[in-house]
Amino acid sequence: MLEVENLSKRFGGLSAVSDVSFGVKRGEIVSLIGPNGAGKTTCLNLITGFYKPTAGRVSYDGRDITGWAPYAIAQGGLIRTFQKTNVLKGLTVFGNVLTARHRHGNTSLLRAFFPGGGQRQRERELRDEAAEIVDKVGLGARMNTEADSLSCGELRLLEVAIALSAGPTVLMLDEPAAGLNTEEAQQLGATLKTLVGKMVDALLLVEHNMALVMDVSHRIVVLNFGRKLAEGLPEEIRSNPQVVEAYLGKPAA
Amino acid sequence: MDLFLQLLANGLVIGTFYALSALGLTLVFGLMRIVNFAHGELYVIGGLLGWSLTDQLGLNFFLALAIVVLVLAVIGYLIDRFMMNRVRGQGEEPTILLTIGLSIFITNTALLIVGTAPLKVSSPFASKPLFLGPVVLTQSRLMLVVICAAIILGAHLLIQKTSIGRAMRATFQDAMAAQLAGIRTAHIYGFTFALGAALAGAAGMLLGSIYVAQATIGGLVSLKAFVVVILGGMGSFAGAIAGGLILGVAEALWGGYVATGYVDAIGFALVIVMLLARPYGLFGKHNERA
Amino acid sequence: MVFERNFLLAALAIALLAPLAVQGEYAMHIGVLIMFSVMLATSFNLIVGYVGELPLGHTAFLGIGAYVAALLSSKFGLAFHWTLICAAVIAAVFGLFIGAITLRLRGPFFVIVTLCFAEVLRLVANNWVDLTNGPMGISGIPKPDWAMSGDVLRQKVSFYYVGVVLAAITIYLSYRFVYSNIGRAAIAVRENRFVAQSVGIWPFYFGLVTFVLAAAISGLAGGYYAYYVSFVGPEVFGFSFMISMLIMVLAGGKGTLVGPVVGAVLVVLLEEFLRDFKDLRFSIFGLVVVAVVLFLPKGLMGFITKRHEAYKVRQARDA
Repeated sequence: MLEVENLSKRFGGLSAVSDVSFGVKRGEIVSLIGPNGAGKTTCLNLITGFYKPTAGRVSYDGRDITGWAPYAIAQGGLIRTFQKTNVLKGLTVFGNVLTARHRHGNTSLLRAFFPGGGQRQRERELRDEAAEIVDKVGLGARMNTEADSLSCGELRLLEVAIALSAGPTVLMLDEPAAGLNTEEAQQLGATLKTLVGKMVDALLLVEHNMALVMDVSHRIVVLNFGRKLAEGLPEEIRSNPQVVEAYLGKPAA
Repeated sequence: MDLFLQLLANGLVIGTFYALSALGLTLVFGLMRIVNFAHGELYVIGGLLGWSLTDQLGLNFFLALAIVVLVLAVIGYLIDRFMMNRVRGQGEEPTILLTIGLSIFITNTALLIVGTAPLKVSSPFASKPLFLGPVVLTQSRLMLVVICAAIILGAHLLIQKTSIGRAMRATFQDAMAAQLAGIRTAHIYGFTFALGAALAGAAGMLLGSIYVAQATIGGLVSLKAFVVVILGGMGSFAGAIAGGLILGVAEALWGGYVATGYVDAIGFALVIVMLLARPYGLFGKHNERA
Repeated sequence: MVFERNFLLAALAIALLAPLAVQGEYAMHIGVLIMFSVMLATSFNLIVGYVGELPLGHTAFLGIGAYVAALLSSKFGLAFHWTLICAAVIAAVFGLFIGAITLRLRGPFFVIVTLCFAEVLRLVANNWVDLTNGPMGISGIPKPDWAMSGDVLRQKVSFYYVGVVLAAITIYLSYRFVYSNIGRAAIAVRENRFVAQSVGIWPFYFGLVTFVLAAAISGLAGGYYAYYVSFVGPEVFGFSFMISMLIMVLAGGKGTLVGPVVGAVLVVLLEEFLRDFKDLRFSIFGLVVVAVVLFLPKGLMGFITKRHEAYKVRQARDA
């Protein structure tokens, strides 16, 4: 479904990502892991158009989307969240999620000026759908709270709500478990597993939390120093000596 | 051919003047990331103050220049301390709005004080024409080019070679690190803005001896300075010089060969083209944020 | 949303009934200025508050609207409603062209390049004497049919009510815009470009749509102004309108629909009040801008809503 081929990105002399290839199939949860600075977020940025690759291809459902603008890629159904929490601070929780529903709403100025009965109905539906999503992620109680008064955990939930509201086919989350404790991370894992197949077609996760990764992933891709180190099932990756070494270093001889 | 050389010479002379008048602006932007929309008005204050000191009080030109530089530096320091300081860290919009408000205030107050009449700063140099081959330049203009170049060089040395210049550069690369290194950043901000204001004022007085010192020209001076800075790249010394010369020569050639009415428009056309082709100017720096 | 709608409807009612309470030519003159300013402030606010940039050259569209109306009516004898429509449309076309170029830029670059465009237009108006009469401007713009009959008072009353209609149209279009999917997209771009892009919103496009709408409204206001004053000169591209727009939107509160209305009323009244201090006027305006930025950054409406929320919190706590 989503194919990444020989993706590379250089920043001046620094090679952030070199020759990385992997894919995400329908119904899968794939995790992208690696030590800090391995290039995981850079990969995500390359896939979603926020960076332009120096080499390589990204294709989605057979279409080459390499170098497309971020908004175009998002319109195609590839929705992402950010490592640093990014929400619309001046709006309420509901406002954020309603705005994110944009792809499903009207974009004609004329219809905005003179909304007929159909348009008004559509607006009502959009608002209902948005409220539903807010409830589904568990922020129902904070529906009309300003986004900049939310706690850290609530902000992350809002981010997920925004991404879901956009109606993703492939959802890409950048370190969703950052700052969550064990119990919260477990809950997140359970939620993510229910999403695939129902609300989204596939999930790409960039994550550091190994427990979560091992719990939810169908496949894991390991990056180190911008290159793909390994790819496979969770058990394979867990016992892969190169992966262990990348994270923990070699034992003193 | 002779016409071309004359126009070129005129353009280079005016270009040097443009470069000096834009220098303060590009410095403050490059170091503090503040776009000072009151820059032209500080130039105006310099010119009017220079006029009152030389013409009204009969002071020596260079003494008056020193006073103008000092006064403008103090004004710049106060503006930074009491206005810019309060909105530091809030982004670009508040500083833009503040300096716009300031420019409105200064222009009108200056109008109230001296009226609309164009005034002249008394120059110590004669308007004797000098003949350099086919080109004619007045002595006063030539001397002024020399003084401008000297000031530009002096500012460059100040920033690159002195310890306060180092402190400035350190502060604007990373304020926190500079503070940890013992630099009193609050003073540095004020000093930098003061330097920008002093340069603007110096330009105002110097050019007021050839052109005019007038309360209403602040807007035009600002606009021309923006053109120079955008052409050359915000924050770049070399850019201010290059931008100034380009603008000066472009205006001289257009005015000489085509039409004089739209001369000012040539600068704006260049800006529009530049912002589309190379938004960061000829010498500007831009990093793709990793 | 509800508060805004109620406020605006109340304001409309007051505007319609005002001439019964406050009579006289001078009052009508103020009324016309207020209606004109409401249109101008709303249009400026669309860009400042909903695109999030500062178009210091916004007088470009006001000027274009004014000149279009002046030329079409005095040289071609076109009727009032047609010239106003043309003024709005042509201003919108210029908005499309200028916006397509300037919206690629952000912050001070946007400010400067819009200023450059306004200056170029001013130079053209000043120099293209065949078309615009140069610095002498276009005078003797014929009065519209509905302003021909009756005495001066009646004419001013007619102008006033036409102004109310135009201002109401302006606010209606802006209201519909802001609360639509398109308006939400523009707000998202203003708040956080990254989030906006990640949900499929094209920042440039929505900025442009907002810009063009603002230009059209500004052009409409310019046309109205041309008829009322009967004279259009290159100063219409100049900075004095800009200062008024700035203060109206800043003092009223940017990014709200109510703010520009409040700001417009305040500024017109302030300008009239300061008419005696003609020379000091702009000095005071400069200080007002500085004061608002330093002490009242969200404008009057922002200040009021903040106090209101704090009051509600206190009430809930003490209950």
